[in-house]
Amino acid sequence: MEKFKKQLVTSNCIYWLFIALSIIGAVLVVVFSPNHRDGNGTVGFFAAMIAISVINIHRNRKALKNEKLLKEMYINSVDERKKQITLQSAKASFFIILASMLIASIVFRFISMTVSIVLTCCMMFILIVYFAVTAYYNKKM
Amino acid sequence: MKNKIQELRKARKVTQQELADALSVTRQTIISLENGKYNASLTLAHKAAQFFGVTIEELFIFEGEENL
Repeated sequence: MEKFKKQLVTSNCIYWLFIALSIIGAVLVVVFSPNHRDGNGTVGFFAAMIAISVINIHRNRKALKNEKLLKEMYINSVDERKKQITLQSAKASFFIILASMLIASIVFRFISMTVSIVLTCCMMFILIVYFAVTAYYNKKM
Repeated sequence: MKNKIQELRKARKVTQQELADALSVTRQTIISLENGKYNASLTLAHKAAQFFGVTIEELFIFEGEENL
């Protein structure tokens, strides 16, 4: 449980760093955006990231002060069934996204060559990263 | 994989939440285990067997080639 407490404290530091970077990003977008209307969506995205980080920091601080809540969070983080669900979801999502990108790339070939090429490059990057990470874990385990 | 978790839990008058807390899993995991929807890992199976004071083979019933 002590290790988990340290993990929560580290998490909070990362969230604070994330908030700082989001604020800097939002300010840069607002200041350097040639057309102020274009930046609204991006600033909104940064604002959402800040809000999520603040909520998580608050939740973690509450857990650090309350043993019952801490234990609940700890069990949720180590529960093997939840881990397996996350793993299966990630696996399925990965293949669905890749298949969707492939179909989109083919469709956009007839609409916009630029979009098609960008999608193809993204797909190739994802596959290269996937094979590299698989090779790494094959060696590690 | 079938198991005797529910049977042993009720015999010892332990709630699902109490068992979940003892095994460091969520109550939903215990429900899924009892329904046979989820197969426990070796670590969890060992913890559960220790909790009930039985062997893994007595707690979980392996019925030959499942999911092959």
